Parts: sequence; structure tokens; C-alpha cells
Amino acid sequence: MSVKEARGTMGRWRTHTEHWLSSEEHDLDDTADAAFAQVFAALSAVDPSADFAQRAASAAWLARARRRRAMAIGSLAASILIVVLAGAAAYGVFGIAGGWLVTAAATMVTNSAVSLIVGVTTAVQWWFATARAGTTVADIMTTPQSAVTLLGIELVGIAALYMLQRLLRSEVRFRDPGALCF
Amino acid sequence: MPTSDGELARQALAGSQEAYRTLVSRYASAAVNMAARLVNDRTLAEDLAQDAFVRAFARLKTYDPERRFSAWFFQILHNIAVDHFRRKRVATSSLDELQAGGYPGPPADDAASSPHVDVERKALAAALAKALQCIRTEHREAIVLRYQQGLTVEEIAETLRLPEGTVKTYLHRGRKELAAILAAAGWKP
Repeated sequence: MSVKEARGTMGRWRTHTEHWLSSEEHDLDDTADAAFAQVFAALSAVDPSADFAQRAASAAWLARARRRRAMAIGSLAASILIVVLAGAAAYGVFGIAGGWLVTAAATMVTNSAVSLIVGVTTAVQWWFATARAGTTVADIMTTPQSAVTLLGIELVGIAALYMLQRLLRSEVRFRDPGALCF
Repeated sequence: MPTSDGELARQALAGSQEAYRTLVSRYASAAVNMAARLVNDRTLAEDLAQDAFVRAFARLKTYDPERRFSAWFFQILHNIAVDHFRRKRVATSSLDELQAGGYPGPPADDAASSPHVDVERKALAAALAKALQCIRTEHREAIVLRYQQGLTVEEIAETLRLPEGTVKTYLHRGRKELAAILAAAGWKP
């Protein structure tokens, strides 16, 4: 049935509508408000699906779980970022001065220790070498044969020097007798 | 005595999914109807209503049990609808076209209902639904909140975050626009 056919029956919906339109035309705001409320009731109600409530509640729960997961991941990422940034900042602040000092101190201690160890080792080696030489000489000199041999060599040497001196005096006298005889 | 909205909200916050499902059941019809009148698409209306319930749950801590849950919830639904209108302009189909495609209309509301009256109601509903899509979104929203959800001007102002005077203006102009459209469509005597 068309609008015009429906108009012919003059049902209550048309009556409400005409009343409303008339009120609007005459600017009767309160009357128009009440009449329009009756007209608006003609609109069909839209019933949600049977499972709508369950679906919406489940979606809300899932969304909360997703939100919590995202927050946990975000917190972890933020914590890692803070630690990394704090480390970088600490290195930036203390790394240049503090790091140089630590490095220099470590280098100095290491180098000194090595030099000290090398020096001590060398000294000990020299000490033992000298001690070995002294021991050898002492061993040689402390035996009777060695002592007699050494004494004999010394006497021979003294006699040789004496003879050499006498030979030299005789030769000078022979070359220049005047100078030698005044 | 049924549990109050505030108590259900408190239980939902404490972790009761059943409490929130009950709360959703209470306002599902109102939410879907309002969304349907705004976007003129039943499936999309359910999606928007569901989004609104999801967002409402995420913000349930901000709900003041002293206030009406419907007013607080419709504010969220309004924001969801505004976001939707901003995102895209979708081609919509009339609810009455959906009814013609098989969606059942409301049951007869009185014993005096006759086939003629039902046809008249459907014709008026189709004309009104079409007219609603022709007026400004702000006016349409105020009209739906006032005449479909039964909110007061004060509650509409709170929901839409508008001064009460502006809401009254929207309602007045919206009705005038609808009246002009319906009069032009042959409903004026």
C-alpha cells in the first residue's frame, strides 16, 4: 500500500504525523516535541544479534588481554632502553676522565711490575754468576798445589822484573857514559 | 532486585566477565539502535556498538556510579560514531531496505493493529528513516538520543559535550528539517 493509499485509511500513524507537522508549522514547540515522540515510535527497533552481548563482552576481555600484553612488552622494552641509555650516559660522563685514569693506572702498574721483575731477575742472575766465579777462584786458591804454583809464578815474575831492570841499567850506561859518570 | 549498573561495573572491574556481559545485555539494544539510526546499517551498527562496549570496558575506571551508565556509555558511542564518520564515508543501506530483505520488523504493539495500520507505520518509518539520513549528523544524533533513547536535554548535552542551549537548537532545527522533508513527501494534510 502506498502513502496515498495509507492516507485514505487515516490510521493513527498518519494522525500523529499530521498533528506533529501542524504543531511545527505553528511553532508550538512543546506540542511538536510530544507529537514527534509519537511519530518517532514508528521507526522499527533494531534488535542486536542473539550472541551480541557475549561477543562484545569477550571482545572487551580479549582487548584487555592484548592491552596488558602490549604494556608488559612496552615496559620491558622501556626498562632495557633505560638501562642502555643509563650505561651510555655513564660512559659518556665518566668514560673520558675516569676511563683514562683507570687505563693509565693499570698501564703504569703493569709496566712497573714487568720492569721490576725483569730488573730483579737480571740482578739475581748477575749475583749468581759472580758467586760462581768467586767460588771457582776460591776453589783453585785453597788447594796446596795451586798455592805453590801461584807462589812459584809470582817469584819467577819478581825475578824476571829484577833481571829486566838490571839489563836496562847496563844498556843506558854503555850508550852515554859521560852523563852516567858525573 | 536487579544489580545496579554501578555494582556490575565494580564487579567487572574486579574481573567478572559475567558481570560485564550482563551490563552489555542491558544496553545492547539501545546501543545498536542508536548506532543503527546514525549509520543506517545494521551490521555496521553492531560493529560500532561492540567497539563502544570494548572501549567502555577499557575506561570503566572512569565511570562514576553516581551518574547514569547510559549517559556515560552513549558519550563513548558518540565518539566511536564520530571517529567512524571521520575515517570514511560508507555507502549505507536503509533499515527498511534490510527489513524488505528479510529482517523482521517490531512485533505488533497493540491488539487493534491491522494490516492497514502496519502498512502505514512501515511507510512512515521508511519516510522518517530516509529523512533522518538527509539532516545534519549533529541534529540526527540529538534527535536519536532524545526520541529513541529518551535522554533529557541535560543528559544529551553531557553526552555530546555541548551546551544545553545548543542541544535545544539542534533538536528544534532537526525536527523542523524532518518536518519539511516529510511534508514534501506527502505526509502533510
